[in-house]
Amino acid sequence: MVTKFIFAGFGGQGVISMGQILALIAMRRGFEVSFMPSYGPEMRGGTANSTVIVSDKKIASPITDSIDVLCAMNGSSLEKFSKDVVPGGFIFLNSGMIKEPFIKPSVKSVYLDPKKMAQALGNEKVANVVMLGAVLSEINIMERGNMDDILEYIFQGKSDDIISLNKEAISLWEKEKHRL
Amino acid sequence: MEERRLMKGNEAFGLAAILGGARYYFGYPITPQNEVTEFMSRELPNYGGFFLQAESELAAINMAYGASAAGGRVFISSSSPGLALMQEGLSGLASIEAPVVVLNVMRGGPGIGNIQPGQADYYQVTRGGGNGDYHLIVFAPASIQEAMDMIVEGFEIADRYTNPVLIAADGMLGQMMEPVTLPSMDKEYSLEKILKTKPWALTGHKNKRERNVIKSVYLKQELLEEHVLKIFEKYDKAVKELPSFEEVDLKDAEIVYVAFGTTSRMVKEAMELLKEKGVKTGLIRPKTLWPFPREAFDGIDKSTKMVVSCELSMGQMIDDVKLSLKGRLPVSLINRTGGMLLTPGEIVERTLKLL
Amino acid sequence: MRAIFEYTKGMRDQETHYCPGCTHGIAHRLIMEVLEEKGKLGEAIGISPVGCSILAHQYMDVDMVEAAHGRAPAVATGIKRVHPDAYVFTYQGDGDLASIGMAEIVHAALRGEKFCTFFINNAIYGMTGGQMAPTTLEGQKTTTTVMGRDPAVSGNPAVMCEMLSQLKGAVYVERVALNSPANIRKAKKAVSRAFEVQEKKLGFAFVEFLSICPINWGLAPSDAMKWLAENMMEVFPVKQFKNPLEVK
Repeated sequence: MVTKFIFAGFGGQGVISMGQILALIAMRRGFEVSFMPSYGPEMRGGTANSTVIVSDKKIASPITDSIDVLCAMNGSSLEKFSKDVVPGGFIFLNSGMIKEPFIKPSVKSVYLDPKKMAQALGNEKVANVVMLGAVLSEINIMERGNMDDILEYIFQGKSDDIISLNKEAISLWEKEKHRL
Repeated sequence: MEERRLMKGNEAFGLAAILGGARYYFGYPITPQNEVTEFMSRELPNYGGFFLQAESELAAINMAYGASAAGGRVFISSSSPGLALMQEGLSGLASIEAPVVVLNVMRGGPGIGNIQPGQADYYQVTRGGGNGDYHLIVFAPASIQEAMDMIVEGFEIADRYTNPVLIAADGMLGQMMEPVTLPSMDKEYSLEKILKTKPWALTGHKNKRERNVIKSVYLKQELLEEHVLKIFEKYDKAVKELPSFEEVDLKDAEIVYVAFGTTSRMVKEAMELLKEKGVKTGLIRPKTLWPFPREAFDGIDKSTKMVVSCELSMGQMIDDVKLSLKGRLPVSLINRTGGMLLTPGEIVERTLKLL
Repeated sequence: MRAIFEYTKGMRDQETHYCPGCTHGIAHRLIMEVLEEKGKLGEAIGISPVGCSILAHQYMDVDMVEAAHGRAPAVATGIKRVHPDAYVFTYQGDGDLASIGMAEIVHAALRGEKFCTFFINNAIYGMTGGQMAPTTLEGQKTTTTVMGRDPAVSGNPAVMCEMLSQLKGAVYVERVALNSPANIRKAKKAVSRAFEVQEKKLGFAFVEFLSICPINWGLAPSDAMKWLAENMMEVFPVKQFKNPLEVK
């Protein structure tokens, strides 16, 4: 079972760290994983993306042209990558940036405004973690269970406040989605 | 089993060098390998090592030349245009028979090119960009873990052959992250201990031995020829001992791909996709680019109709593929260049066109 | 009977390839004499350049390595990192140091590398047969400036001591001349001070030797000595530019 993710958006929206956190979570859960960032002038010029492959076998290609899960943090990312999302795949859309509804046959679209949700937690910087929480909540590639220990591993060395903020952020969608 | 940790390629390469005993690093910033230089500046002093940012790649390789001639265990890194500047020093190091491990995180060329991944340094690293008769021993890792293992082993091989060893990675491997298990660091790398194994090193003669002279000038042609022949005895040995490759599904394969480094991973995924379409393919992945694993091609099955070299260049390794096949089979090229990547989908599409 | 003069221990018992009247032999001997007197021949590591003195390692009886053209300061930097207590020196001509190796020497000085550089300035390329050097004087005829060096075309002579003495890391900078017994004695003192600066790890030490090249200048050795005094010393004044206080 291989799942291929692309997180894409503006530089500063945290798409690189979204990919890194997912890669760390998957690794801690015993999966094989690869993380490939876009780099160089592309990153500085505004758009950034990261590709994460999660698999129960050794990973061949760390890049892909068949995306299972796209996380589009802005319109241009949606435009660039949505065509490569495979049937049965998911597209997570940042509804704070993408106002038009997006429909692709046999692909499930999930809308959320992670920045707004993060603001409710008191810190919009964790919008990317809120988004990642939504991704983990909607797709069933690994048992979610309690992620507290993994987040403590990922954010080791950071303050307790930051760790608990991220713990809240990652489970926010799971808690709130039925109300939204 | 030791805990896996998720590491960025460039940082993992630096850590592997330290674990492999490197205590001297000289570098000049160039993308996409800057994290190696930054990592070494941060970490090497913690292991009793020395980091120095050189004024140019030219200076860096010559600092490495001095440190290696003085008996130190030396690691340096750069990317394609920077490696071009180091060619003078690499030719010199091969001639003075000094060990050093050089990492090339390859990017798009020619000229300044760009900072995206590339494999168009194949000629530069295997054919000797420097002057004269010499070879670099060249390893091509396909994963971060393999790169770490090759770097650690590279120091042993560089010492054994008293010759530079080059690790040909690319920007993708440098920038991506994968879980790795650290190579063990069970050896002691004190300078004192290392110097005992290098009686030729410059230390000052201490009035206890004849002076050591390390040189590559031989003004008498007979002596230079003799010197080159002596170096090539080592290369003959390397050709026997070092070639290494991975082979996948050669039996019954209709098409056999040849790909090194990260490109081989895209090929592996393309092979799965082609299997679903009923096309049987195999892969030969050279792990050493010099010496090139020619014997790998003896394992090609009678079922095979065509060999395809997959490269991020206009076709450079394909020369070695053809030399290895000795005309037995037609050879095609599937490639991208200029920093573009071959995706599994594109490999499938272009393979189907070849059939 | 008491010996009043002996062959310099640091020099190997071997004829050199230098041309008649060349001052390389004097410079070699001064460096080896100083190391001998300090009892440090066994601690010395020398780097020979590309140029006439490419074979210096055949004559100096210490551990030596040859560097690619101009790169001796980078090579010395690497050696000094491995053996910080060794007496490391580069021996470089004007083409090697002031032309192709300008970046390496300037950056070694900027870093305050703790080794010595002995710079042989004879205002011409010797080994390749008399072409213009970066230190060739204005109007001086060479095989690549047959009408004389024209600053409008090929610039002005490189004044290395003046340049390097501007840099904080170059703590000892002196220009000497090898054209008379008195000047040679002064030159030896400069070599000795340069090694003392290295011994005390004070920074980079640089000694420039005004030298002659009778063959490529087309002069008899005695005339060459005169030419040096009359022409070179005006552009390249003999003086001590910098001497850290710690050294007496």
